[in-house]
Amino acid sequence: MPIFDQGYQHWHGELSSHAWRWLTIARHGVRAQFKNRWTRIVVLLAWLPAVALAGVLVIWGLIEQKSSLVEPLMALFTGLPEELKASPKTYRISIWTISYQYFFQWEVFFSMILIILVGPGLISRDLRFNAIPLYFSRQLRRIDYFIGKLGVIGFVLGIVAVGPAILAYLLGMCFSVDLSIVKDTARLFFASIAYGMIVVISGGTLMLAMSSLSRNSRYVGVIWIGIWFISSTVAGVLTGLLRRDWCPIFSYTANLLRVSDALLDTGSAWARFAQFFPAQQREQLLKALGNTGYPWYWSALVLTGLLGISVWILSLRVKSLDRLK
Amino acid sequence: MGDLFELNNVTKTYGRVTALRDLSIAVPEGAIGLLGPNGAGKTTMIRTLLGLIKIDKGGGTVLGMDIGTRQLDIRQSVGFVPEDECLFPAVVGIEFVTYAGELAGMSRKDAMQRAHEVLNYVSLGEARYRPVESYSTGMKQRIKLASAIVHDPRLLILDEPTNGMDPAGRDELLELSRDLAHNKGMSLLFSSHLLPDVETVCDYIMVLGRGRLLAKGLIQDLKRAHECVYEVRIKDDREGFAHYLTKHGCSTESKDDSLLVTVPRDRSQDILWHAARDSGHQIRFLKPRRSTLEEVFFAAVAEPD
Repeated sequence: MPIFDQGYQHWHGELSSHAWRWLTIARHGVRAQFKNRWTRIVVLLAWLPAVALAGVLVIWGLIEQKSSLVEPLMALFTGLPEELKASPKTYRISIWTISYQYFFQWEVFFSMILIILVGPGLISRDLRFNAIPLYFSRQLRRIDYFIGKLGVIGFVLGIVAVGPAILAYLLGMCFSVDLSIVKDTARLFFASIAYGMIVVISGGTLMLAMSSLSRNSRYVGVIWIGIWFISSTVAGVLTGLLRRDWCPIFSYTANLLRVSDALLDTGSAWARFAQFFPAQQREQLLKALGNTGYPWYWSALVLTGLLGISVWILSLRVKSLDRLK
Repeated sequence: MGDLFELNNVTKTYGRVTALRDLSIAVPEGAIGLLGPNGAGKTTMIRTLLGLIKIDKGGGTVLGMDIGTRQLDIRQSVGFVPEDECLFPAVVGIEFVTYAGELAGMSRKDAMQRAHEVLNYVSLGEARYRPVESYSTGMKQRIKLASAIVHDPRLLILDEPTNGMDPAGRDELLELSRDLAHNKGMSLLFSSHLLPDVETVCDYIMVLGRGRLLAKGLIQDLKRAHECVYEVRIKDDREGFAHYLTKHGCSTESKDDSLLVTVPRDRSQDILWHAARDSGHQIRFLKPRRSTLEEVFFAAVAEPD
């Protein structure tokens, strides 16, 4: 039987506008990534800090209400200063801020691991399988392709960092039963979203740029680990040798965390707690708790520079492939 | 019937190399063969039609849409089968074609349903759940074809689609291409080095060389009949008949199992019948000789600038 006897029917359906093509790429990428068992496991593990964050916010809300539900737990807080126990609402913003700070410290760690699992193959595999012409011969622009690929990283980081941060925030609000909480903590809400976007855009674009440099995803993964660990090691060594405040700017993750501190205003939160300590210990304590002495915008500049380089690499690498051999 | 595409004075250079040089052409809808030696500008022309490159000069339309301003709309109406092995990685056949449909703007449900239909059409129904990396060369070409027609484009561009394929796979692909063009109303731009492939699929050809249009037209018109040359097949003594004709003013040339006979300009083919009767030979086949596509092609590319 000739093969065309099975027929070909014309199709008369509606085609969507090209504005949403990036979403198709992102959806396809997310489906592919979640077939990886390790991605699913790390996502589950990455939700543990979110559970802890939600737990702290809920418990603090109950403490504020002096609820009988937390009375059995009060034994754990005997070491807290009396002022804090007497007026927990006054310290609400500090407790929430510090909880979010720790949450994001953990999530930056998990984000780095998830980016290694999800990111290396996003462009490099398209290069290896020569899939680029299949994309660009359709109603698709380079920006749609990049945003679609970035969307894969964005989705994965969104469900472990931004989504849980927002859910924990809403849960904490529910247990506070006090409208002033909206005014007190609105900054945290927006800072969480903004910080999530910074991690996605910075980490995602950097990973995509590296992914476009090689056809082998493993090499890309190794380079990413190198940037993560080597930059942190260099920053650590320089800090040890030079003992200067600005040395952490050599570490990629330290820069992310520095920006997080600035957005969340962790310095003020820690300063409020530091007042419970004698004056001579205060400065040492604040330094030990991560209140670095260099301006946050230095870190923002480093991240912006990396973003610029990443975009340049992407435009160069994928532009040169925007052709049919 | 409107023009499939039209280019006006299109020039495209890559550094010192001029890939397209003041190319002007209007091509009707149907099955179009794009011929030309390496470096003729075929791929650059395809890129231009798809709006993938910026041309230096000139303009044009594809399916009535301007190539300078409506590249995305053009790509929406065009299906493209690239020459190289191109695959979306780590997917099975059905997912490959569904993804192509979604990228063309179809909803996932429509794309999935349509993917099943076109995979059946290209005879990959049995292999739809196999990873595409495990496909043979022929299957990969067919899945590329399926992904190019999933959104039912008005124009299908095939760039060297039969390269590296075995004869059976090649025949299947040519038959599919011919069927799409002649029975399903889809216009085709079929770029190939293989003249028999173009002849099998296309009705109209354009020959490019050095970035210029060297020839174009319906294949039947280009393969013109030679006025004084006939192809003759004789029972038994071919040499004797050739000798007899030569003595009577004709020139002859053996070609396979036939004779190519050039008769004097003032004589008709009757001279052949008279010669056969007088020399006692039996003519089994006689027809005016037509140029082959190969001759048309070589004549076109041999023309000086």
